[in-house]
Amino acid sequence: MDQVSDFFTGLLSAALWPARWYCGTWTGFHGWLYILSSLAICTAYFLIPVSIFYVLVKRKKDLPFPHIFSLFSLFILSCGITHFFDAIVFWLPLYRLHALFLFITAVISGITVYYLYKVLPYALTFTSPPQLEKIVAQRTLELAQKNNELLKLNKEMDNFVYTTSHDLKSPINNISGLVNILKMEIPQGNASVDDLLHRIESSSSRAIDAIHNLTGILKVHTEPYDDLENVHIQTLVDEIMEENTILVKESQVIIRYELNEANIFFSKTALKSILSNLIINAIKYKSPARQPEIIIRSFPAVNRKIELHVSDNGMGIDLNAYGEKIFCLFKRFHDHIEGSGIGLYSVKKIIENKGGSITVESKVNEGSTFKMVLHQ
Amino acid sequence: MKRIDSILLVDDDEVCNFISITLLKHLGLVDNIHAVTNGKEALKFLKENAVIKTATVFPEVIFLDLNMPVLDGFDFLERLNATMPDYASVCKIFILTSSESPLDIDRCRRYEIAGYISKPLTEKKLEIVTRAK
Repeated sequence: MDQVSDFFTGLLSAALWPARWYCGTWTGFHGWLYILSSLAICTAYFLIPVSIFYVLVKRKKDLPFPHIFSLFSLFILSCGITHFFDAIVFWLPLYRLHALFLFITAVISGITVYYLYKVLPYALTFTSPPQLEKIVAQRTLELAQKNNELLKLNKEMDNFVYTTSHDLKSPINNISGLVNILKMEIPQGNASVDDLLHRIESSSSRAIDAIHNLTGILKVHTEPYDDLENVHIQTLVDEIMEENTILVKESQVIIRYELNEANIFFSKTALKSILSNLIINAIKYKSPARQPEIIIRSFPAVNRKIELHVSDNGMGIDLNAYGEKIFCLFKRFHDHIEGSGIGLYSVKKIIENKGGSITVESKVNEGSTFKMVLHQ
Repeated sequence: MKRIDSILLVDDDEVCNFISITLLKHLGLVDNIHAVTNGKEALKFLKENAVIKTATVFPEVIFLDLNMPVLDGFDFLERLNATMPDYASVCKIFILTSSESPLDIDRCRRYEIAGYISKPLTEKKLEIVTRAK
């Protein structure tokens, strides 16, 4: 115990030993080789922790095992200190302090080794940047392949629908063609025969419509709508009204315009499909109490967009009950009026595919307003 | 409606041919109607009549279906175009089909086609044909 207390009380004492220069026979070359090499190692050992510390600060978040880095820095630093003592004992024989620092270095190196062995299994699972790049490249390739497969499958699916619709339509078309001929062949005037023929005709035309709607949905998704032109809104609406003469005449609908923008630079086919769906809906779902009236408004909006509103004074939609469902496929809310359940779905899809949006405001028994923002 | 001298129907669907023939006969629009059931037979028929060059038999109008066995509508158009590039000046070809596929319509645009008619043939649709004459 005396030795231990002696050691610590005389920790800084250098008087008990001769300086190393006088301990044995050192030539100048031998001594300075030893001293300068020790100092060089010491300098390097001091600078290594500085660079490690720099990395630690810069990459604090994503560096694995930060403790190991700190321990390793400390270990190198203490090694450097022992080399420093190795050099200065040539003049100042602080052998006790030297021994103490050797002991501290030994403890730190022991702890470092312990931690190193602990994290080694995890460290082995780490992937190097080139390995990671390889993995990313492989995954990207796989993703591209999967995407191609999906695109191919989608195309096949489209073709399947067209082929099936063609195969289904051929015999039904033949039925309506045969009914046409039958009507020419048999003398008219027999009410029950005429009724039967009429029923066959309407049945086959309903079947054709159903198939036509199916391919219609497909067209909304695949049609590029690239016939961009400056579409004159009023002319287009006139065109739509002309194509639906019977509906327009029977309903005695009035169309009014409040157009702040007379033209829209848009796909004419797309806009025609949108407007004819909304106009025909407004007429079909008119209020039995009033003469139907449709107001078409347009305003300029931000970023060269155009707002287009179609308002009617019809039955209105109970939005609390149906809400956004009115834009869903095959959703129908009136069973006394014929419809396919794809009109508003197509309208929304066409607008959204072009980067626009559509919303609806409605009051039951007062009317509805469809508000569109169209991207020119 | 204007009269048509001669019509060739190319369709594997016999019922469809029957409907077209009966309608055309009933309307009394055409003197000669001939029906074949695929593109190969159609080419053979045209070749024979082109050699004889009898104006009354060489079809003025062809109604062409697209989906047919042996030689379909597209292959027929391809071969006709290769052997007789000026066919459009001799006869008008109308596609008569149930297909709604945009791909099919696009493929037809590569050839000189007088019109694209959806089945079945009706009096109203025939007006388009006689107007195009």
